[in-house]
Order: sequence, then C-alpha cells, then structure tokens
Amino acid sequence: MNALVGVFLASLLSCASQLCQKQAACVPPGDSRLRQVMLWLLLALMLLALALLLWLVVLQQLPVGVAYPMLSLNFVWVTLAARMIWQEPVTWRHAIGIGLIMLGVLLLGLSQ
Amino acid sequence: MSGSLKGRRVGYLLVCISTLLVSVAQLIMKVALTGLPPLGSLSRSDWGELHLWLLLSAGLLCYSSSLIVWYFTLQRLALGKAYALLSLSYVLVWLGALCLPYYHDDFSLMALGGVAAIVAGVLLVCWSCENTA
Repeated sequence: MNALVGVFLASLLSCASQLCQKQAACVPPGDSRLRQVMLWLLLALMLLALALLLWLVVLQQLPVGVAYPMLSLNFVWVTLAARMIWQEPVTWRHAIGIGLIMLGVLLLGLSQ
Repeated sequence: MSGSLKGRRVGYLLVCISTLLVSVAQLIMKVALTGLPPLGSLSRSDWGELHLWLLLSAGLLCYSSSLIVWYFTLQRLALGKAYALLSLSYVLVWLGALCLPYYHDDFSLMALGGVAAIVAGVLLVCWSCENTA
C-alpha cells in the first residue's frame, strides 16, 4: 500500500518537474530573465531528483509490472496541467493517443 | 508558446534527439548497474570495476544532455505534445534490449502489442499537432 502511494507521489513530482521546466522555457525576455530561468530550472531539478529517489525506493518493493504502468499516470497529469496552465488545446485525437500510449506502457510492464 | 511552422519542425527534431539520448542513457546505465555491486552496500574494498563506473558516468552524461535538449524543445513545442512524443523512448529501449548483443531480452507478443499501441498513440498525438500548436 505504501509503495502504491510512493509511486503515485513519484508521478506527481515528476509532473511538477516538467511544469517547472516548461515554465523555465517560457520566461519572456527581460531584465531578470536569466535569474528566473535558473530558478525554475533549479526547482525542476530538485523535484526530478526527489521523484527519482522515490521511484528507486518504490522499485525495490513493487514489481516492475505494477510500478511501470502506474508511472504512466504522468501522461494524464502533464496533459491536464498543460491544458489548465498554458491553455494547450487537447483534441480528441490527442486524448485517444494518450490513452493508447498508456495502454502500451501497461502491456510493456505486464510483459516483464 | 506555439511557435512558427519552422520552429515546430525544429522542435520535433529536438524531441527526437532528446528521446534518443534518454534511451541510450537507459541502455548504458542498465549495463553499468547490473555489473556494479549494489549501490547501497558499496564497501571501501569493493568498488567494482573502473570501466563500469566510466560507463555509468557516460549514461548520466547522456541523461543530462537529454535534459538540456529538452529545455530547447519546450521553447518550441507545447508541453503536452512533446511529453507524449517522449514515450517513444519506451520503444527505443525495447528495441535496443531486443537487438543489441549484450541484453538478450526475450521477445514477447505482449510487449510487441504494447510497442504498437505506443507508436499508434504517438502518431495520433502528432497528427493533431498539425493544426494546433
């Protein structure tokens, strides 16, 4: 049970890291641009490191066949967050594509 | 940040490079980590072989380069799109582990089905890229 919470958290953390990386890439030109970019990237790296660490701990307790597919929740978080924060359009094709990718990751995980 | 058409093309190229780098990193680190003693129980006397540590560093270098390329990708592509394309690294790692001499992974129909689903999903996401960002 704890391991499942762990993998859930790891997926949220790595999504948060992606959001910070995107934010860093989107800083508009200006006086404090470099400083802002560096701050977002630093935050992104810290979140990524935390996610990786948690992931390594989880992998020792859960079979890859369970952990791997659960990490594919990332695709859902990232897509939803990008839609909410940067108004990225999510078409039906895109949504079905994400579903297929998750199914694929599930099958790959189960095959191991 | 929906860039120009040219910007997006460069963006797709960058996603591919980033995906390739992260896949190579995974394959290399797998070799290094299976050969090295468990990282949790490293002792002063047994550090494992030097060339495996070099290999691990090479893997980490590939991984960090992929992050740098990723940053420039995100300047040109929507995050949701770029992130979906990154899932091609599952396919590349699968192919690598199947075809490269070191790994000897067994072929399984289920894994093939998974890879096919990922490729189809990525194509769908790409297809919806043409009219939107």
